[in-house]
Order: sequence, then C-alpha cells, then structure tokens
Amino acid sequence: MPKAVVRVRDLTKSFGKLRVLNKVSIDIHEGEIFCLLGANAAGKTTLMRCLLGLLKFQSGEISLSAKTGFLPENFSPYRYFRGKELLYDFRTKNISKEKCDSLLEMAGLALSKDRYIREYSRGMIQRLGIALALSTDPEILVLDEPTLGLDPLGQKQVLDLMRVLKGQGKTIFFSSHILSQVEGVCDRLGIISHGRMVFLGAVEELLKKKGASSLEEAFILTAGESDCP
Amino acid sequence: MRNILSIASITFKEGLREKVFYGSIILFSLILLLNYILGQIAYGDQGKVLRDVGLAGLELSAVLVTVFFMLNSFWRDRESKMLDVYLSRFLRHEFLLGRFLGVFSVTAVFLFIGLICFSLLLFFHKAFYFSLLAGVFFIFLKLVILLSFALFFATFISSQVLAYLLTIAVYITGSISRNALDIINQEGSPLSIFFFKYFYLLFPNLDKFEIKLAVAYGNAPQFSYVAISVIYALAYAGFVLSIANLIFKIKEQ
Repeated sequence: MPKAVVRVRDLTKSFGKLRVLNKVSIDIHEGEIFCLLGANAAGKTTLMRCLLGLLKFQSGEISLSAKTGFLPENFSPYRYFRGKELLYDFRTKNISKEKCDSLLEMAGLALSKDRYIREYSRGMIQRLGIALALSTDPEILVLDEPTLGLDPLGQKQVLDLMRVLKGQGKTIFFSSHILSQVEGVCDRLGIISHGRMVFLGAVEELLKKKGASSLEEAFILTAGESDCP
Repeated sequence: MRNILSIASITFKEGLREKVFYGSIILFSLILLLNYILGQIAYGDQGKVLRDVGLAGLELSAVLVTVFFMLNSFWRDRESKMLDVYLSRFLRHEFLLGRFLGVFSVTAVFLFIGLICFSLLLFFHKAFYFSLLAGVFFIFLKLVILLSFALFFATFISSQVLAYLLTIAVYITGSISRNALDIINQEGSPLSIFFFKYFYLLFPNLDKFEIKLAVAYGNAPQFSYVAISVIYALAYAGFVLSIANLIFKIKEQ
C-alpha cells in the first residue's frame, strides 16, 4: 500500500450558511497524479485552499506529510517581470538560480525566460506557474485548474509536464472539469459534487461501477445522481 | 528575514515599473513648472514661494503615488491570485512586513527623485536651503504612518476605492486634528472637548510633521525634535501594522 502524503478526513467548510464542503475525505498517495473532478462551484478550489491553509475550516482533519507547491486558478503574475526574474525572486533559500533555470527549461521556457511576462501566451503563463510552484522544491504539487483557458496545444504541454514531474517522483493533485484530459494522465480521481466526495478511485473502477462506456457518461451519472434530492 | 526581504524586493521592483510611479513624477514636474511660473509672478520673497509650494507639491504627489500603489498592489494580488501564491509559501506577517518595506522603499525613491528635481529648480534660482532636506524627511515620516494605515485598510476592505478614501481621510484628519482640537477647546461643550481630546490622541498627529513653512524660511528642526518624530512615526506605524497583522491572520483572503 503506497504511503498517503495527503490525508483529509471529514472536512467541512461553510461560508456563512452555505456549506461548500461536507465531510470530505481523501488520501493522496506518494508519487501519484490525483485529479479532483467536479462541476463549477462543486468545492474543488475550496478543498485545495483548505489543504494549503489559505482557508480555515469548521471541522475535520488535514495532514500533509511533505512540502507543497501551489498553482492557483487563473494565475496572472506580474506583467512587468521577466519569467526568470519571477522565479529568482520567489525561490526559497535552498534553490539556486541554476535550479530555477533548469525548472524553466523543464517547463519549456528556456528560450523565453528573459522575456517580459506580458509577452507570454496563456499556456506559457501556466507553465511558468508550475515552474514557480516547483521553486520551493516541493514533493506535492497542488494545481488548481492548470489547463483552464488553454488551447489544445497548451493543454498538451501542461499535461506532458505533469507526466515528467510524476516521473521525477512528485505527487500531483490537480483539479479539472475537462474530462478528456483526465483519462490519459491521472492514476486516480475523485469526483466532488455539491461539496460531497461522491467517488474515489481509478478511472476503470468508475467506468465499471457505472457501466459507462466513457468517462463523460460516468461523470454525468455520478455527479448527476448527487444532484437528485 | 530573508522571506521578508524577498517580498520587499518584489514589491519594490513592481513599484518602480508601475505606470502610476512615472505618472506621479510627471505630476510633480507639472507642479514644479506651475511653481516656477507662480514664483515669477509672486510678490515678495520668490524663493520662499518656490520652496513652500514645491514641498507641498512633493508631499501631495508622494501621498497619491504611495497610497495608491500600496492599495492597488494588494488588490491586484488578490485578483490575480498572487496573494495565494505568497500565502502558500510565506507566513502572513512576512507578507505584510515585506509589502510594507517594499512600498516604503518605493516612497523613498520617489521622494529622492522629487528632491533632486526640486533642488535643481531651487539651485537655478539660488533659493536652495539645506533645511529643505529636513522638510522632505518629515514628509517621509508622515508617509510611513500613512502607509501603515493603507496596509491596515487593505487587509480587510475589499473595495480599493473605499480603502483609498479612508486612508486619505486619515491623512486629512491627522493633518487638521490639532487645529480642530484648538477650535473645540475654545468653543465646544465640555462633552465634545472630552471626546475630541481622545479622538485627537487616537488619530495620528500628522501636524507634528508639518515643518514645511519653517524649512521654507531656512529653519531646520532641532535634533531632539527629529529624534522624537522618528520614534513617534515608527511606533505609530508599528502599532497600526500589528493590528493589521492580527486582522490579516484572522480574515480569510
């Protein structure tokens, strides 16, 4: 049984009277790519923000056994900074400038690291965000909708980068609502609907459980069920 | 400490690349130009008019640029999710202190550039007094307090405009509260005198940093007055920053 580097137990979070997370529990194992699937406003971002200590929660437990790096949704860094400058300035003390350069190279930004961020495409900004998340030398990467708003090529580059990082032993926890991306890249997935975790497991398990021929069908069946009162 | 300096350095670089920074330098240059024209038509001591109006213009443009930059950068970090990036890797008090020191440095650079432009104009008119350096330093002290208020409001007010207006209100209130207290003392009821006395103590006494007129006449403040003013500005800013830190720790961003 692989070691769980992220453990969430019965996490409950409300904004005023609105309950956004309702007793959510997940384990994320070392070295895996875990995808959190859910419709808009299902609670994906809230779960990630609670995990990172950016939000306080009412009840439940969260334990992280390794350092995290984070890419927020719709990440828009300072336009008047150069790509490399952002990494150099944000890096932690155990990360050298050479290491930052190698992170930029891995993110496919070696040739554009001296350019201003305002000249970057959306896909380049997302990859820069992932490189930035790696600049604390984390074992766990938390990526909130890393492919949102990207064209197919941009999506492929980000997903390829995630595979490379998995190969380096990183644990990746990302959220998405683009189902086509999930099948090819993630080891396990969780489906969250209206603040409840309605499925946890591998894609094949989900397809088998729902008797569905595609992930899209299985997702609609799973998330749709929880919509019914 | 390294983290605080990193955040301060990022804020400083960001500030120097802001359009508003250069816009304010242009604004101050226009004020200097107007000042020059006023100096030409002024009756009496033209040098005194140049020094007095120039210092007032420098203070006005410095207040506008630094308060705006402080609030705008905070608001933009919220909108662009950079705040999440900061808070996921730095402690909250590190972020606040770093941001404060960064804008503090931007303010210092702005005042330095302003002082050079202003001094050149005065040298040209043979109207430069070294006491003006003290005048600019006291503007800086005033801004230190004001920046702490801007940061304080930014931690819990999501509307940038409201936070800006409140900070400017503190600036105006702090600048006129001594005069207002004098008027109340002469004409107010005992109850209003009682309340206003505490109100005066609570608000920053920015009038204590108001030495523009004195330095325009070439009178520099005594060292003891400078020392007390520095201690007051740092202590007051420290107090406001501590409250801002408490709020920032509690409030979800």
